[in-house]
Amino acid sequence: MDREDAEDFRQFTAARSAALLRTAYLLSGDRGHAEDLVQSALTKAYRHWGKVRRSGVPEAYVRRILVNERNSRWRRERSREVVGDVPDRPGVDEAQAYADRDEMWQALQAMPPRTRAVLVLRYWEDLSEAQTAGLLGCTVGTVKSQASRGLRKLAEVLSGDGTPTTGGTR
Amino acid sequence: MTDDLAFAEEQLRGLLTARAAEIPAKDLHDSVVRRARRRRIAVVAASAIAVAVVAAGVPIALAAVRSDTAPPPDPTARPIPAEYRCARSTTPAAVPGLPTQRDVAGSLGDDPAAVVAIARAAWGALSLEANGALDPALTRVQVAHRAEDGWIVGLATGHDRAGRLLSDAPVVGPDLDHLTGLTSGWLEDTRTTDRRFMTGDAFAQILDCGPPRALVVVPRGATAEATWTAGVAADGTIEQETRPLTPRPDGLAVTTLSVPSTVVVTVRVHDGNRRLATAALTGRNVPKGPSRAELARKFQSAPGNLADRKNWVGLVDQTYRVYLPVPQRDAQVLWAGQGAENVKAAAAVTTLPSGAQLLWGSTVTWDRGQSGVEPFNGVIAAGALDRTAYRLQPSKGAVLPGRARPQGIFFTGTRRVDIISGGNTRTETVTGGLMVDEAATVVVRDTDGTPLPLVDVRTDLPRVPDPQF
Repeated sequence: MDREDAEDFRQFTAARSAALLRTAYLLSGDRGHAEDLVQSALTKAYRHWGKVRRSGVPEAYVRRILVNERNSRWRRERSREVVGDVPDRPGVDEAQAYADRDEMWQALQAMPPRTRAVLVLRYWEDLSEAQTAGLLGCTVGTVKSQASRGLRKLAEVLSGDGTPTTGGTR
Repeated sequence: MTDDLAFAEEQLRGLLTARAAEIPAKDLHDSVVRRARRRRIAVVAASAIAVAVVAAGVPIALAAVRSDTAPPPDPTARPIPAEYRCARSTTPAAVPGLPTQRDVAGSLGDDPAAVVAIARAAWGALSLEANGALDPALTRVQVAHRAEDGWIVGLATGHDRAGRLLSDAPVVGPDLDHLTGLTSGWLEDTRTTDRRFMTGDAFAQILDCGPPRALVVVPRGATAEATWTAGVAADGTIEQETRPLTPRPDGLAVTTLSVPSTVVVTVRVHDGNRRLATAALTGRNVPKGPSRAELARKFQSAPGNLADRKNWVGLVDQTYRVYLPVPQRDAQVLWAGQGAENVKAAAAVTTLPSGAQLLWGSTVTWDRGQSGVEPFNGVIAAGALDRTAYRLQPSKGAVLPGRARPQGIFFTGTRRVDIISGGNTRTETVTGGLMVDEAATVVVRDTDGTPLPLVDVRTDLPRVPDPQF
């Protein structure tokens, strides 16, 4: 990486780390994982920062890595639940015990990652449906249906149909 | 869009704003650069070591195993009680290619049968967490230990050929034939070598299989402890229990956590004020706070100039963050509203069995596209609520639309309030509280005109500890 790219990367991380951390936290529901996700995404971007910089939209580039990384990890986590020696009651559960009692937050965490990503990108990042679709690599129709499905689930929770509380560790 | 979905969207926006505000600003530049460099170094170093080993034909020197006197297994561990269903009912199958393990910490570190059993039990979790890309030859058993009650506790890690950590899995079970490999131990940092633990590394996890137990690795010079909030006394004292976790000479400590199921127990490894590793376990019977539906109703009828429902979302969200081992009842919203500067504040109380009360709430600021929700909680002594006024301000670092830090003032009932600013005094009679936008001295008077003590909720009240930290 040349000096100009290094300085640009430094400025980018200084300006955008906090925003990326917040998005990662909303996507993952866990502070530790959020920082790991952002570090991982930035590390990948760092290796090709010249190219990222020349794209003119470095934040969109990093955000896309972030979302993909989160979805990829979720698939690994989900596969753990299906295969192998899985206890009836999870032993070291990465579920965010911290948020167990918050039914709305818990409902958000329980959603499939794409639905959650749609909600976070639309209602936290305030991206348009088209921008969200572009970032997630899906159609606008999918974004609309996922957003509607997610909001409907949250509406159910708000109306009192909450999810059960469980123990967990992190 | 139906009203329900519109309401859900509104609530979601508030929830996301409130949750995001929990994450402090942090520049990750240095850690990212270090991480990128470390990976490059690890690859180079591993290649160099491999070349050197092959060329010289000399095995890498390994440290001696440790041992101590272990108590005999607890016969009551068989058959496995129903609540310990997490323990396997069958012996883990052999895994071809597992390496001979050396330098294993714990009382069973020099017991080959125990180490092999732990490696086998961990394999499934290690492999899955590594997304199936793990070679059995590159797994390491880091810990093999028999706990005080006879249960076996282990920790294994999986690495790539460069020595980088791919996965880690604690192992636990009542005996060597019933070990379960657990997923998502999440070591605190990415390891760059396949050595046991690098100098300064720490590990903390609570194994929730059988009796909850702490598994910690404590670096030299550091200390570890388990803490939990046990209750709240009538005088507002938060009863905090602490139990030190004393490590063995090899830095390992495995301790059964005999704590009520109504608490959140936190295990910390720290070096002075520097936190090295933390894990928390939420008990299965931690009492719930007031429900969202109840709080929503209370907010709709609360005193204050509540302009829209978003105002209370941040506040509602915060009550779920307060873990107390006792039930909360009689939720009461003192006031929720905003001043001319568009800074919002709200405060509510719940009553605890001892008579003490939990006061909680938040400020919400919004300026130039940046918003911030700052929650607080504090405990007040039984009977103090009606004899005190409370002040809540955004923090000094908050982005504010005006130059002054507005003050949210809260109290019970209808009171006369004197606002003294620039040599002038204006008097208002208000219910529940008000927002004072300017820098001013505020005097809240009791019905007989006596000034009530004004308590700053962020600095003057004992705060319920956050188990996450």
